[in-house]
Amino acid sequence: MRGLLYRDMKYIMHRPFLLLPYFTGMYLLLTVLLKLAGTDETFKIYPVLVAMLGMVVFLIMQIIPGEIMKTEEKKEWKYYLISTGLGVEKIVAERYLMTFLLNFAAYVYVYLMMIIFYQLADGSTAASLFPLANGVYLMILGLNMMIQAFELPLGYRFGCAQADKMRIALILILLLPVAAYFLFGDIEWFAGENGFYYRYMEYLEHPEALGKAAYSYMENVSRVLVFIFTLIPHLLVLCYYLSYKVSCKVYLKGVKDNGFREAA
Amino acid sequence: MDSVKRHEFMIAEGKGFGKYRDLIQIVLFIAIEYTLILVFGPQSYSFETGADMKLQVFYHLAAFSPAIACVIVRYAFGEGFKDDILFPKFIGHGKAYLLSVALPVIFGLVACVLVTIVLGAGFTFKSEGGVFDAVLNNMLMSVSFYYAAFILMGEELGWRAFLYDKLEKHCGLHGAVIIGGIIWGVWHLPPLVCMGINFGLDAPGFPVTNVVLMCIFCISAGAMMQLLRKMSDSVIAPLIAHAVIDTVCNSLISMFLNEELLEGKQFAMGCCLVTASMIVGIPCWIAMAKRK
Repeated sequence: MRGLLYRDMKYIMHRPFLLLPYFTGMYLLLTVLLKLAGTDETFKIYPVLVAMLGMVVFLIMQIIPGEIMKTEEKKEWKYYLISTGLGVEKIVAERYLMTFLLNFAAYVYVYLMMIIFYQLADGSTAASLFPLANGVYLMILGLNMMIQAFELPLGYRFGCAQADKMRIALILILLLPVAAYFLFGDIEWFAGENGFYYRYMEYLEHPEALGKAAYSYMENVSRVLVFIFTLIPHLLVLCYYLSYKVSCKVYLKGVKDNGFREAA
Repeated sequence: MDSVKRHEFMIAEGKGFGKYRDLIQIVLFIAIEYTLILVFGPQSYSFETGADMKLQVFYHLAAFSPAIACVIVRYAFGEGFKDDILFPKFIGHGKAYLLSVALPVIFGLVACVLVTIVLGAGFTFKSEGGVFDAVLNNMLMSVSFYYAAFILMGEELGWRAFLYDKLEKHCGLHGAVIIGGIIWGVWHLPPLVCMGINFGLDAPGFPVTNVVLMCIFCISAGAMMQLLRKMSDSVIAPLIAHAVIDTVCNSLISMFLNEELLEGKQFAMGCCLVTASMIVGIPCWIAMAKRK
């Protein structure tokens, strides 16, 4: 199992992970330039900067497990893995562990970046926004893992190309009603004069107010809603475990089917 | 024979240097983790840590000091991790994982009963918002279980995946539990002194009493954790038990005990926790000795 983890690490270190130092360098350079510019106005885009960095990093981490799976789609590799005596459970467990570790690494990376950015920015802004941003990133982490919990069994059963298509189809099915609502529905609450978007832009002028507004919302939020929110992490763990079990079941079936490429 | 050849010879022989290898590893491990906890601990274990991001980084470095020390020592000595220690093995070890939840809950309930008997603190089911509020509070605590498990991974990788096993080779089972417990207890020095965890800042003989009581607590809890580690052949079971103690037990205590009556009696409550840990830990210790 360690050998498989090591193999995945070697692959990641050589390819997609190279994007991270690039983004880090770019953002740090931007931060230093903003700091040197010295005007208060420039710091107002800080939350946007950090949010963008988080999105990019989580997007990379969303793609990597699929990319690793593509490297081992040859039937010979699958049969070789089975012949090592590791057992399907351990082979699949390694992929799930790797996926979790990648998501977790993304979270730790973004957390550290937030600390660096906010330390360089105004301290009071940092104190008010940090827990809020942290919560948002935890939600993105959960969403990422949930999507991967659906994607991995599909990848094992039908191959990565098919799994990619199904994932995109799933996302489209989820997004289409939302897009239709935003195009044709009543979105006064979002884009109206006192709507969410304009209030958010106002809050960007005074980031401390955004933090306070979020806290007051959390204090007044329904207890049933809080209860549902507390269920989500447990459901996520259950979903991940069920996904692992399904992947174990379909692993051999997927290898035997035509979904996987023959060795060149 | 020059020193390099002698070193190579000793490694090849697996004797001589090999005999002291584990001891050197233990000393190095303790030196690294104590350095980290003493450098970063006093600053980070404070009531301001939540708001200060620099202190949060220090806190995580301090909390992960046993794991960091373990990784450094293993790397320095060319010793890897065994697969089966780090990964959960649920099949065939169901009893161990069941106990990893049951034992801490029993510990929490025993502590509640002891506090009620000793302090008369009121063993009543209390919640202003009714049953739903109580369930909600426990659900919130159960979410913090994941964060606690992450933080405690830093401890368990050091103690159960390294120190206790190394100590057991040299000092036997009982020596490992006692010495390991003392090392683990003294490691808690910064939170004990800075925040007064478990025993308060106004304990008689502070801070010596706090450290001694913490060592006794860690010896008993260490026996419980090591039993789970041996039963499951993995550090995941003690990790779950540790996280349950830090989250579910706290939730139980806050739900059942009357907080007004407990005010200013943190030391007595801490003593009850130590007694409860002995009531649960000593049978685990005996069971572990019998298993051997």
